[in-house]
Amino acid sequence: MVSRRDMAARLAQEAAAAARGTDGVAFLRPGLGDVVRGAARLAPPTGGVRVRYEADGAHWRIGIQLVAAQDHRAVDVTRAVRAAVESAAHAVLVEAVAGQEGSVPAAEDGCHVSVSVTITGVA
Amino acid sequence: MAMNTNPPNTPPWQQDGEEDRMHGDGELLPCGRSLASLWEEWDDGDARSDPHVAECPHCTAALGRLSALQDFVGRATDDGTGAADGAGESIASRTESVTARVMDVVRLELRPGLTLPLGEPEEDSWIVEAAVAKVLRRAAETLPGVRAGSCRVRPVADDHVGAGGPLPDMPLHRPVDVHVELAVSMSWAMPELARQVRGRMMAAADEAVGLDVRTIDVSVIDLLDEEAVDAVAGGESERGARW
Repeated sequence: MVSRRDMAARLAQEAAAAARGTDGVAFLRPGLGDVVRGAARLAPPTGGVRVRYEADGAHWRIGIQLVAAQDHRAVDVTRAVRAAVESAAHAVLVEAVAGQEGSVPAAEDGCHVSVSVTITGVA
Repeated sequence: MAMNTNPPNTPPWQQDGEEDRMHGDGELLPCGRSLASLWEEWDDGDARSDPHVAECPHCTAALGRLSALQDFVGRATDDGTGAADGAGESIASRTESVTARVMDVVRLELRPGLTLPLGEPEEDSWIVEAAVAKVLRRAAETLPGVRAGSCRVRPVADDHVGAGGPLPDMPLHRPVDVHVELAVSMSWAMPELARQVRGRMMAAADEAVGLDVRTIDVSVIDLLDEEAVDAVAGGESERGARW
């Protein structure tokens, strides 16, 4: 059984990894601030990622906040991040339901994912 | 201070705490390694061959952050802080500009403020006003003898949209108006200045951001004297293009 909290944690983790690996992303917020404050004890980091489930509509909402690299067009970065995060999230949902009876709806139940991307700075 | 909820006799490096722990000389990672010694290893080039580091998620994450910071600092010192005449900036001033850039990013991260829409309404992409303002100010400052001050970026007001058709459902998805304040060298003629500043800022809004700008309102609020003009070292200052 996959609890909703576990699912949210997995989604956050995969979303963070996907976003961070996208070309044009400098850091996830609070990214650089965390480095300066030395919060290196947290691993792996999901700062800058928020995951919420809306039962009405079986809707996973993922919010990403990031600092973009200055030599990339901001709107293009948000699009690339959205695509990467959507893909990663769908993989998590599909994997969770494969061979498992879960209490939380996943891809097979028509559950869907929407991703909001906010650029909080340009480095 | 954080409450210590750990069972008794828990070694410090296994304890949970809200804040980073200071222990002895410096911070400890949860695995017991000191952050300072990890960074030293990294500097000496030994970190990768350290078997503990290779297997430890805390150390590898810390190194990831360090390398990201190093990249950022490297880029900050590489691009456009040099004087065009090749005289070479002092270490102090380069450090200052890197520090300023780091603090810029940190400051923005702490105070997001108003967000502006990017792309189409259904895209759910946003950028904070402060980030756009920074990009636009930087664009204006590529002109010689121009220093940008306050820069406000706001969605156009309702009654000014005019013949553009009905407003989209999402109230913020509309073009933006920009207000920028400048300090300029006395050698600028105002109409030419306004034209050039608008041109640079519009180009930056489109090419660096992807934001639809309707108007740019330019206010000159101060004059730069000649010494200040020479000190204005924008990354792409055109020296010699004096008017």
